Amino acid sequence: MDMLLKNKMLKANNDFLDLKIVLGYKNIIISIFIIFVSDLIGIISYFQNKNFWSVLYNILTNQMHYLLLFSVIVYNIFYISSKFKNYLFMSRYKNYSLFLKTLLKNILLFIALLLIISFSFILIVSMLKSHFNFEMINHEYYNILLPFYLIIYILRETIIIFLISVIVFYICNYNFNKILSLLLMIVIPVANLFANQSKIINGIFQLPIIYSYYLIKLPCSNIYLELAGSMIQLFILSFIIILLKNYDIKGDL
Amino acid sequence: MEIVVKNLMKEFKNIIILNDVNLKFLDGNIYGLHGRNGSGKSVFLKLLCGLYLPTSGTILYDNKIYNFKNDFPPFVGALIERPSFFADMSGYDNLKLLASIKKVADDNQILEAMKVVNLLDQKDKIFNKYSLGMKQKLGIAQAIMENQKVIILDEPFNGIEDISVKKIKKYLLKLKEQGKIVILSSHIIDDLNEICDKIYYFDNGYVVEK
Repeated sequence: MDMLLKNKMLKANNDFLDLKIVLGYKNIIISIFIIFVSDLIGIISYFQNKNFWSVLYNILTNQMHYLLLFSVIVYNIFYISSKFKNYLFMSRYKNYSLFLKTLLKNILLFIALLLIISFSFILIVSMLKSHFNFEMINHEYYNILLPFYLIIYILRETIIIFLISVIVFYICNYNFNKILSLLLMIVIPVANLFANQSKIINGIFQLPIIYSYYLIKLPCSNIYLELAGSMIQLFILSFIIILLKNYDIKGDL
Repeated sequence: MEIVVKNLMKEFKNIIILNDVNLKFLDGNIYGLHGRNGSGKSVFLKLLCGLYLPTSGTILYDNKIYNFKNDFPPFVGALIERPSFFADMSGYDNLKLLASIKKVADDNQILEAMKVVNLLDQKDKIFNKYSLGMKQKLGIAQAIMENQKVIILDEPFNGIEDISVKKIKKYLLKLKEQGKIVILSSHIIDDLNEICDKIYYFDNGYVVEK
């Protein structure tokens, strides 16, 4: 049965590598387990409110949740890249950039799957914890409905996670200094631990430039300032990706 | 198909591995690369596959340069050093996964390649359970399964039993008759003498014809 399934998946789509086989069940189960733990940390650390939107907001903005989530993402990008970055695979593609593109596509697909699992779990737990109380409430800092803010937040969170993943992927697959790469791999998840914004941000120059601040509660004097900060952050991350994408690989493969 | 190597030089951290190498590989020939371990044979083969960039000089496949910066040479099947397959997959599944990239080799070609290297009866065995020789055979199978014009094999007979070595050599001679270029490296001269039309000797960065 397993053999049949493998053959079916190998035949199913040649552009997509079978990550189930590549990662192995053990790796996938551990990744999902850590994702659940990361969600649970957010869930356990918030007891006060019985409103679904509020519970959801507080779970999603927990920094420990992102520490674990990014650790899983960075580890898997490293692992998948190391498995595929050998000449047996690379040389079968037209060129190295096409190989990287295909690998990146697969990695992002896997991350999307992890995010869907994580978010589904958070949604279910938030509903149970709030006893299905979907009453509309306002955001704690801005005069807008919290559900509306959450849509913007989730969109920003998802884009940031994908952009960071792309950056990690390029760092992994280009011939950078190994110690520097390893350091960056540690810094990226750990950056979530140091994100802490208690003072209200009043001007554009007070906006933080580190990505992790845009995943926690970011008290700005108005929503437009937060939106401007988010746009600047996405621009910075996109700019880094463009620089990495156009980086001329030094040395050999 | 003609491969022309012109004034090829390769150095790593100021240590010269290959120095002013000039060679020509033509259709319907088997070429042997001989030299002690660390003489630069594998580096040369990686340069041929476009995985390494020359420090200076060129490698031309029918007057075109191929390397990872532009395009990999699309007509090369290669086994270089120890190939890394997926440990939890069977030998057959590993080949199928690789074949799914180029979409050139079908099931029959994969099985045929496994037959050539005497691995057909072990095709469903998990790669992790393969012996060193079987892993090497699988490496050869992936290099030949796509019926490429140029076959590059780095120390292909390492760890393989005599019966299979004979069978593989016979197959390589068949490839020669089909007009393909076969380039073999080995530190055992007898392996090369038996089937090669020309043997190049690698020593201290220089390459001479034997």
